[in-house]
Amino acid sequence: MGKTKKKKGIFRLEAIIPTIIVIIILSLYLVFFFDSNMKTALQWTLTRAHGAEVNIGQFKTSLKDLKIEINDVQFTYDQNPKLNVVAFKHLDLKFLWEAILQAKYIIPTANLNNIQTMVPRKSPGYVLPQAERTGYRGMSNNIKNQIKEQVNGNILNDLHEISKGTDVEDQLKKIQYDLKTDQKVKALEKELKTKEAEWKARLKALPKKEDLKDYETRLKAIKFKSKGIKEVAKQIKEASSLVKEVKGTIKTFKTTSKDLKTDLSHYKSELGGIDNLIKDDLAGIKKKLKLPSFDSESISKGIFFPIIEAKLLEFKRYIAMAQSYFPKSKEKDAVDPDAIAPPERGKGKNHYFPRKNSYPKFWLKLANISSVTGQSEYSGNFEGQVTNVTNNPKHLGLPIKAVIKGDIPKQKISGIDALITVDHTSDKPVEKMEFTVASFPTKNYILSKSNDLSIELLKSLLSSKVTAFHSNNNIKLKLNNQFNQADYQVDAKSSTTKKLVMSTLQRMAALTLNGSIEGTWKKFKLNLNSNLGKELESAIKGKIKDKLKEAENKIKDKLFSGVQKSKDKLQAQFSQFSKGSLGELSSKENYLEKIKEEAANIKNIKPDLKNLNKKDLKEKGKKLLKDLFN
Amino acid sequence: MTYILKQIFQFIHLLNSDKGHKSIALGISCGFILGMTPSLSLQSILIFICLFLFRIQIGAALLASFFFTFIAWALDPLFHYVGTQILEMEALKPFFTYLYNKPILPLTRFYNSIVMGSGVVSFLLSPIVYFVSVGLVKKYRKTIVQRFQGTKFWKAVKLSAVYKWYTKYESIYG
Repeated sequence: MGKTKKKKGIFRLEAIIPTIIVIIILSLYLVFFFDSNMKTALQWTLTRAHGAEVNIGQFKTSLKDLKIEINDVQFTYDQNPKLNVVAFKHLDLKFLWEAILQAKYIIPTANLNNIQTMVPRKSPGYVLPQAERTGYRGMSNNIKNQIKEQVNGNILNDLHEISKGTDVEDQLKKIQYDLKTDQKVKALEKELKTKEAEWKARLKALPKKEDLKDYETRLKAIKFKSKGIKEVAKQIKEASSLVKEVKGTIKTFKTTSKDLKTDLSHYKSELGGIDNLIKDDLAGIKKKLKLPSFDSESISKGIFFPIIEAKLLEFKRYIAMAQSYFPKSKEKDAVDPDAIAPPERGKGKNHYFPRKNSYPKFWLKLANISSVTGQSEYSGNFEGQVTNVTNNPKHLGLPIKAVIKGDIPKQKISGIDALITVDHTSDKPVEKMEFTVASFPTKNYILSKSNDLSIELLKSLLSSKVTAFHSNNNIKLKLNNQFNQADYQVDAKSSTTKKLVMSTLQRMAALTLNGSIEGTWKKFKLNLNSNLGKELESAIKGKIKDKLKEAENKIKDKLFSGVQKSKDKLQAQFSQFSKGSLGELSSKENYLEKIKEEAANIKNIKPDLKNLNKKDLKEKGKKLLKDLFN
Repeated sequence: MTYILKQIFQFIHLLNSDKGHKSIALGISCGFILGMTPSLSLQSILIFICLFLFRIQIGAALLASFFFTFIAWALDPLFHYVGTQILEMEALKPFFTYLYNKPILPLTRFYNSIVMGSGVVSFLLSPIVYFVSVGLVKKYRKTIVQRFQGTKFWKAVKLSAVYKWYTKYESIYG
């Protein structure tokens, strides 16, 4: 008898065992591997956010209590990877069940204990290149370019070049610079030639000496033939016509003279402009040659700009990172397109439907920070609170605030005071930070490092204050640093520079470094000053100013002597031409004026002669009438 | 992996048999919903549970899900548009606010434009996909399978020892 297969029902009963197996596997994963995987993921994320290696000793979750404990967290100091800039022993976070069921993460209280700083690491941590740090993408170039525009980054090299007596002629050979002056002189030469030809033709077209003599002859003829009324009337008519003709000729001469004078004055001003062009050319060449201006601000910027650039990039990065967690306003998206990356495809857009007093997606109500100096020499007294960290501050209506105060007596670190406010509760988000440290011992702190000069603080006591403000892409960043009791190590390409910087540093009781940045991310103004700059300026002034002047004179000699010669030649040609043509015109004009005057004198007796003529005619008329009626 | 492969082979076997067309069509419908959903969410888990719990062809579901994922990737802008339109409807705002503030329901990520768009589109289209699949399976069996079974090649295969071993194995282990 054949076996008949039992008809299978709607439920897949044979799937019960695989399902149970899957559940067991998932449970085993949660028990044995979840914490470790979370630890790795968190380490990876924090490392990218911090910019240097972050290590987590233990990550422990308790599903029953909805609690996370994170122990032994170390943040590598990116300036010195052998140290941890901050380390803490314990952080616990407890979530709310009711919120978790709504896919929201609410932490009523968190505790952060046992903070340490500048703790030596077991092995040096790795520091991420800036481009790999979170929030860095696409923002660095603009900031770097702006700083580059405002800083002479080669000032140390210039110092070296000038102090060793740079060969300007050599540099001039290397650079390609088209002198505007040269071009102008050539153009003026050409113009003068054209104008000369043009004017010669125009002067040639004017009445010649013989024509003028003709006027004189005609005038003389009028003077000596004044016999009889008829003759006088004829002479007067001739004089009137002569005056008219001479007037016309004088007008032609005057117009020509006026035109010539306008042309000459225009040309004269063009010639005069060559001096200004020489100045422009000189400035352009100096810029190409990078002949520096050794003022205190330029020196300070040249030496210390990498510090402020790095701080600004970090500040911008943190702002971009923080902003990516908040709902974005349309206005902000339009203003700062490079700050936040657009949402990836497939991610869509989350719409929030909060109720009044409902929970936001994430809310850390209060994190208590407390630490007391213990046996470890790196532990300190810290007290602080972080409140209302949320992804939706507008809904919550409360700004994020972090206040931390403390000191580490065994490390001689005192007066740490930090206040951070992130207020995104309105349409005008504001981020503020104030950080002060009264005294902080530094070791092997690199102030400046380049091929030309490196300044390292072997040891010092740093007193620092940083204030930062950011709102809708407007930034204000202020740094005030003072390094006291400092020991320096200076290395420079040039021994003169090394000596100069070292002796200047040794003379100074403390090194100050103050800077500010104000404006928008797209256009900001950088100010940076250090007493090292001032001291170096006065030291350099004595030693190098003469060499700079000498270099400047060399450029003038080398490049502008030819131009000057051409200009002088042109000037001479112009003077000769203007003197000759204007003189000729003026003498002819004077000559004609005289003829005009004399002819006018003859013309002026015309009314008397006319009267005489009328009287004579009257008498003649009377006589004729008498004869007719008698 | 073995289980998944077994399911896929079973699907091919079932497709070429003369039974279970509804189970295959249901599998394709579930796979359609899974494939259209952008990421793991509560509704995807529910579909998986259904796949395990009910006699739905898992192989068909997995293959369909794999296939529809590519289509969904191209349709993301459409889903985003549909989702945004729904989520921004004033009339539905109180309803969404209610859902958003209730336990469990936010885990579906309904508030995401693509999840909402793809969810609505795939749930609305799933019955159509089911009936179209039923029709296609039947047509496939009628036209392709029957014609293939009539070929000399298939007749030769059926006479081969390997095929006989296979039918014996099939009758014993199912």
